[in-house]
Amino acid sequence: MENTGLGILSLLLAVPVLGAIFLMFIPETFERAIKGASMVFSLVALGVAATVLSQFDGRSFHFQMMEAVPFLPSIGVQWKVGVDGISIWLVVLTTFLTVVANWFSYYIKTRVKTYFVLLQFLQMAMLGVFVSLDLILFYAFFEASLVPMALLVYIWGGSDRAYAARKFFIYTFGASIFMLIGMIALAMQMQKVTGAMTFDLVAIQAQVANGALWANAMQMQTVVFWTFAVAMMVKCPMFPFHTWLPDAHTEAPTAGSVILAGVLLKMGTFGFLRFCLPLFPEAMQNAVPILMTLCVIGIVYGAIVATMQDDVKKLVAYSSVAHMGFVMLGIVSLSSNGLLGGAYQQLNHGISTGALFLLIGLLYERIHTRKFADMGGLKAQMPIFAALFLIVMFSSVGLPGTNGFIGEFLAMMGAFQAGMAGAFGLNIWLPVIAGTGVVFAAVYLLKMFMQVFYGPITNPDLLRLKDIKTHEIVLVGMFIVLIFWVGFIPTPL
Amino acid sequence: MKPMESSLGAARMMAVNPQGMRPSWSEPLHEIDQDGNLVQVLPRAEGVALGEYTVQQQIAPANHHFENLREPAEVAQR
Repeated sequence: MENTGLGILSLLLAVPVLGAIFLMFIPETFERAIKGASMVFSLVALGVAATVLSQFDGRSFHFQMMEAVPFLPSIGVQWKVGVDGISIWLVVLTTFLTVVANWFSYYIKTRVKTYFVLLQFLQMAMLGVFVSLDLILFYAFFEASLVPMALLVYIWGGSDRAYAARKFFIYTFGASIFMLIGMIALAMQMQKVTGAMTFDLVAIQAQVANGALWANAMQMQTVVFWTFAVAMMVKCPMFPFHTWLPDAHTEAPTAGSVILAGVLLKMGTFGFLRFCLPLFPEAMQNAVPILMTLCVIGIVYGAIVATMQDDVKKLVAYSSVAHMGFVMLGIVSLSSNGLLGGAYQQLNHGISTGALFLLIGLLYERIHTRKFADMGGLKAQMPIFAALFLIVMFSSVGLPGTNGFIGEFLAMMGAFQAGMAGAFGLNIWLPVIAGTGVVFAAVYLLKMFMQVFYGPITNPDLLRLKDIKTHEIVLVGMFIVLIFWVGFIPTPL
Repeated sequence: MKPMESSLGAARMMAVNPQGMRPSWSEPLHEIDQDGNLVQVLPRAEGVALGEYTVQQQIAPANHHFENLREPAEVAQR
């Protein structure tokens, strides 16, 4: 099972790095060459990810295509990567959304080379997070993803970009520093129990499974658990650590928003599945009532604040807080349906919200405003765009037949099952309250649709607007295929 | 949802099952079967795919934690 050399996953990580290095050698003035080369490298990464998927055996829960090479043997750090059923789809989603981000970045006109180099590095860091099986390696990729994203917001963002980039960086970096301390504590506990310091996730989990790691160290388990949990809660983000998200989403360039919504937020939920559940069983169970309460507050709060927005991007950003609340609701219910729903919803959120940010970006590039008041009556000028927007919006609402339905349904069902069984001190009231979030989602998204697409045209600039172009229809069309494919045939996932 | 199901089932069992009934990534003879149960499998021959295995015995049922919660209530009803 374990390869002692480098293999296909290292190749997957090497492709964007090679892409970034290649781009550095292209003169800044050759804009089309830079954009074309970046797209080629992203397509190659997507191809490698597809190969990984085709070689993956979904019948086993074990890590596959594992590679392990000692890196700092004296302190037990190694280059150890692998994929399992949780990470495989996130790897595919990351490479797919990077292709979309490249495609949509054709409008970038300033510092083109820097932009695409950062995009390649961002892809490498995101993929690294999902395939790492060594805690320090994971931490390195987790932090490495912050820099290119913060720079994308800071250099190519909106008018308040400096504030948004700073806030994004400070929140996520600050929280993960505590996680690093937790990782060191975990490795030292391993040394105490086994005599050898290691950051190897598989070796640590083996000691958790046999009960040796936390025997007589329950208090330590709780403290270390929260260092991990808070870092992941900030990344998701969960209430009350969500305040960086609306600013970052609103100010980020469109490709940045797509990647932020589609992949970066998933690092938080993925972290819960990869570390918090397997490594800290008792602490995780004890934390369920607190975490589920925060999920429900996040769902309702995110939905209410979304209904009050008059800016389309801010509305979708707050809806992300609510949607990610559903993902976490399923995961922290610790029931089989809940976990499946949560994991499913994190992929669906990447598709639906990624597509919504893409559509908003397409509109913004034409009219340079995001206010509802400046957009009324758009349907008359852009009927195809309106139809595509409606489909994506239905998927975000969670309409049956679209991808959004199955994940939310399973997550809610899992939360109800845990509540009805009285597991982990839960009751059914929390999922009942969370259910109102589904209703709110329909309210704020339909309100946005009515205000943007119906009514009389009040902004004269809209009168000269033309409908979206063919290549843009193809771009959004890929998301729509996924929306219906996953909605009607979820089985292959 | 097949590729996700077994890995998610394992992560959940790692979190909720008692010691001795938790799957381990380092134990190749642990698997999650089609019904979500944690099972011990016979050693695979070289070159055999991970997903092809013969079940030796069940280690923990799929919903061990929730079934244990339900039992006292059912006993009280009876």
